[in-house]
Amino acid sequence: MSLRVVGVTKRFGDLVAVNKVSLQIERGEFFTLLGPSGCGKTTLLRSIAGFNQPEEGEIYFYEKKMNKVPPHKRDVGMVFQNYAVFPHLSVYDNVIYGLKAKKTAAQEIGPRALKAIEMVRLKGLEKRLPSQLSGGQLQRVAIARALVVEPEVLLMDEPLSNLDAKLRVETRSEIRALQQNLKTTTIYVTHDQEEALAISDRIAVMDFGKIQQVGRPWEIYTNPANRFVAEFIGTTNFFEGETVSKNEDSTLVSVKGVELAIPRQEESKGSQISFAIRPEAFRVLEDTETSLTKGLFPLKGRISSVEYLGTLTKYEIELAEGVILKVNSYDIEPDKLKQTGETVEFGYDPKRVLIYKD
Amino acid sequence: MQSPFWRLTALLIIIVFVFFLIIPIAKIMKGSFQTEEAGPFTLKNYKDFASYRSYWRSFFNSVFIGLASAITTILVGVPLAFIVSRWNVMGKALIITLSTLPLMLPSFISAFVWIILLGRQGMITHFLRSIGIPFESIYGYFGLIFVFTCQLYPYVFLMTISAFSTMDESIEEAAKVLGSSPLRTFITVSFPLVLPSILSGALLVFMSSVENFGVPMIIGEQMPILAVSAYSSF
Repeated sequence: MSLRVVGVTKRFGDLVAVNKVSLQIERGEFFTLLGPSGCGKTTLLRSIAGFNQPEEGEIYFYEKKMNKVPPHKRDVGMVFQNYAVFPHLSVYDNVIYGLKAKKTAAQEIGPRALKAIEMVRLKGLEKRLPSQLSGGQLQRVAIARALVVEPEVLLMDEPLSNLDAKLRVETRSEIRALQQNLKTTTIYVTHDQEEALAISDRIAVMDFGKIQQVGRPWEIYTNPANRFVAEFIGTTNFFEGETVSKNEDSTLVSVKGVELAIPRQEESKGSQISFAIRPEAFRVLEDTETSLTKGLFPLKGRISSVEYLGTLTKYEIELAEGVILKVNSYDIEPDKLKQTGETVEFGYDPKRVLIYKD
Repeated sequence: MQSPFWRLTALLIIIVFVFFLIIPIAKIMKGSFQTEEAGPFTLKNYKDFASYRSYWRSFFNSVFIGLASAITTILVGVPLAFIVSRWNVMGKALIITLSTLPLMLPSFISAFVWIILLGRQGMITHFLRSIGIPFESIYGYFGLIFVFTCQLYPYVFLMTISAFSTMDESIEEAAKVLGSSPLRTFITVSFPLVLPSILSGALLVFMSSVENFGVPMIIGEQMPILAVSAYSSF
């Protein structure tokens, strides 16, 4: 493997920013640290870059222990949230800065810099000063500057959070494509779950300085390890209730008087259980359909809000007093759109229920 | 439309400006074209100034000492500002506050203090001679530049420290991650970015040392200096 973090703890006074974190990142992998602000993801990234010294634990690049190595000898590239492009140097001089610092042979510098500038589609802007560039262009300068030195590891600290929404989506697929081409091991920090799902090979979800779950995007989305991960990644409906009865493949749980089916549990009748159902696990049924033929657990409720978003429509459906479900419906024909106040039949497959025992 | 408050403020600023700046300077300018004998307009004063070697020497001495002080205050103030703003120095706020003290102290008082320490009969002078260092005294060029440096370095220090602390630290981090040593990072990134502030601090030092009267009066001895010559010919 390319990079190992073993039991790293970083404190700031009484605050434990990173708490006994261990990670293994493979060569060429696009690895994302995802979590809310203050979860320790940036602190961990800065430990890897060498900007802070962990109190405990080790950081290895291949077999080499890096704890005592200063940042300028670590052979990492870094892209910062606020670009950190040198404001007094032209695009070209920014890009060659690292090559000169690393004493690259003079005849190599020019061609390599031009290749990097071309790679991030800034050709023709070499002589521009940073003050003459837009935010998206500045971040591309920063990316070219980091990649031109061919670092062992590329670290990216929320590189897209200062860009507007549309540019963010474009730039992230560019970053992904570049990474796939160059096969540079990349550690990417973000608080945006959609961004993480879209570009990562693997994601580590962090909260309170601890790793909550590490996995491929679909593993994290479809099988979140705990309630925090389930709530942080995507939206979800959470329930707490008491088991009522069970048959051979499912258990019925009473949630504020509404009975919902979940996969069969071995606990005795009356045990407390919490579980979640994603909004897209529900299916709103048409008049001609019945839940039994589709193998769905049937529900009936009153629509309390409708949000039409084009590709999908978000309903909130009230089952009973205080039990409101978020339900997503995809690709519906306009005349089948439900209205607020309408009573609808819908259902879900109990196999898609996520159960939390913690 | 501007509110009456802002118009009044503008008017007040103009009045202050005219009374305290324009009128005195205009008076001096007018006086420079007049003598008692020659009447309302003459270039005699300028001719006199240009023909006396001692005036020329005091002019060049002042400019030379001003430039030298600007350079020495940069050499003292910039590294100090870098250390205080970038390293984890204890009592940072106290150091910054104390460093402004020399600016409050009348400069001739600090000149006196340096004479007590480094004058011909000064405490340090005696000590240096007793261990065999043939130190003469603080009087002269060296002494003037030395006292101005001690007195005026806060201009450079304070300007530079605020430039360092408003500078985005991730710019320096970006340089380091690209393989640049701390020294190279300072020379190629931090220094060029705070240079405008350093220079404006140094400009203040230059102006203050050229206009200063107390220090050359006490330490300059017979050396011709603009401010002293102006005083003695008044």
